[in-house]
Amino acid sequence: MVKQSADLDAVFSALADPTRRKIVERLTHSDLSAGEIAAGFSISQPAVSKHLKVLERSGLLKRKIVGREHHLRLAPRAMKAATSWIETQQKFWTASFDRLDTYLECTKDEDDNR
Amino acid sequence: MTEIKTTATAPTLTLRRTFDAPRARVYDAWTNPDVLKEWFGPPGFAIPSIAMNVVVGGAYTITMRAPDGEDYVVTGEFKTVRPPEHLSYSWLWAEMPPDPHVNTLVSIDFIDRGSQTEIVLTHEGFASAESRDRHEAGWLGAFEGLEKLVAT
Repeated sequence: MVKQSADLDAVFSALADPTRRKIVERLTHSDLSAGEIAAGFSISQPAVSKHLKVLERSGLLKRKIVGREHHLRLAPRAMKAATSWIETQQKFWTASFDRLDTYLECTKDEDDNR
Repeated sequence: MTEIKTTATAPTLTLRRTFDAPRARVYDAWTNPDVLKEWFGPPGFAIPSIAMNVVVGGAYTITMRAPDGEDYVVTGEFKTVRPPEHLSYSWLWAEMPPDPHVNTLVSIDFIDRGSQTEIVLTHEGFASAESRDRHEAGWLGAFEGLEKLVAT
């Protein structure tokens, strides 16, 4: 459990940056080399490389080194943790809203009679 | 009236719902522990204890007891308190799987609709300053792409 929450924290903070979101977005279309990714940004290659490391550490991205080329692809498992977090919260609030609705309905008359 | 609209521009969840009660009652339901314990949490859950200090910087702790007897504790701090129109607070599940120890932010707008009240609740996946840029268009695209990826 603790392991999973650490992943989730890392995923959320990795995705909190617009440059890293753009990198992720590009990788949803196809796998790319580090050079190809860097070519699409106006920031320096070392800066892009730093972002890639953050994404890699979060588990969102996998790196394969072939010779001097670094190939990058997305790893869906980490994103699954984030989507399941959203689902959990959604279920919680929706269920609470249903109960609040019932509560307000049931106490309506008392309130009117006050 | 009980329609729910959901937009999951992860990691932000937005829920809208209209309640058939004036705004003061709905706000009270959210900030008065005696009323909150009547509805907060999933069906079948009881609330054995609530401590809350509804002022900016004030803390709250809500213990929810599942039908099987297990306790789930949520805790946090009020960030904005503007009765009867707005509330926000940090939100941290003490133990609940699958996401213990992830600090998040809940914001609620109470919108006056005459005899009814519309609530817009957002639950952000992380309570950092960076989360404010969540409306960035790139985010949604990335998320949709990933959803497809996850589905395969």
